[in-house]
Amino acid sequence: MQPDPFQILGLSPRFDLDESAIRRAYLARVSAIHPDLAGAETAQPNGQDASAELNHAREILTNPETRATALLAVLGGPTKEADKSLPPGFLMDIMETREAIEASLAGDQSERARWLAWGIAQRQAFTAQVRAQFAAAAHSPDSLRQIRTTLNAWRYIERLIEQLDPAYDPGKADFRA
Amino acid sequence: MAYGPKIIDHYENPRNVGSFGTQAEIKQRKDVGVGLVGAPECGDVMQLQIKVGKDGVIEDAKFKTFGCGSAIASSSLATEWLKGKKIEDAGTIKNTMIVEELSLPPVKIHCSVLAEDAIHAAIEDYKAKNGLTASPHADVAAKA
Repeated sequence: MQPDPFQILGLSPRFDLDESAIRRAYLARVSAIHPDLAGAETAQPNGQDASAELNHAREILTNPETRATALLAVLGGPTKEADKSLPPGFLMDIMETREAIEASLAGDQSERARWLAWGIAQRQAFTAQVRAQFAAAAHSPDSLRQIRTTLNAWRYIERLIEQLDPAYDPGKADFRA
Repeated sequence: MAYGPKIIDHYENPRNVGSFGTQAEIKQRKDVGVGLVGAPECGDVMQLQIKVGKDGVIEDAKFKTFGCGSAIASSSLATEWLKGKKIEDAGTIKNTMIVEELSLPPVKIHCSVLAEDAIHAAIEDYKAKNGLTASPHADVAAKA
């Protein structure tokens, strides 16, 4: 099995991790593999791979959404492929929000900042909800499924925030990469 | 990336964008079937609507997709293919046909799956609204 990002950085798996703790763990690992710092004998022959792995793990853990996804995997929860559930009515709410955003931006680009603030507030609410769900003393298959449902919904908010960026171009990722 | 001209065309000139009314209106309309689906992989949302005539033929189709270029192109193509099809035959449109027509790369196959899911959801919605749960051709389409 592939080591998870918590293992890679030598951190105990948990949701409440501040950026400075992640950075400290990252720097400690980097200095252990860096040829200048570790000395020629102890430097790993695959130093570049190891360094890329550390960078990737740090990125995953720094972003609360991907950190939550990684933690759910460590706890043995369902993947998004296995469980696509959403809270009741959520998809229709998102569709209506998307249409409202489209309509309001068609007339007035200054509305963008207001919607972005809405998106950020939603992100914070999801972060708080996931934090509370992970804080439970023990996790049953059912509680892990509930976290999956929350994370599935959260993805739609992150996508909305991404697409509210005025530079976002839906064709760019596909056709002009 | 080697995207073909067909997908670029559907993305740059999407066909049949829109809706047959507000969400509240189309919910009430018995001649309109609505399929609303989401992609948990990326967070894209796709809504596909079919307007069915009294003869059971799809007269018109519309879509609204909030997502990437491939998802927009896939749903645009789906609305073109749906028009003129009998409601019983609409379910024969498969994601693999969309992948082939648009030359979608493997990383974008889920966009075509989303379009197929939206078609099925729209058919089901239309049938449920009109009490047509047991179509005589339903199992034929499922096996095809």
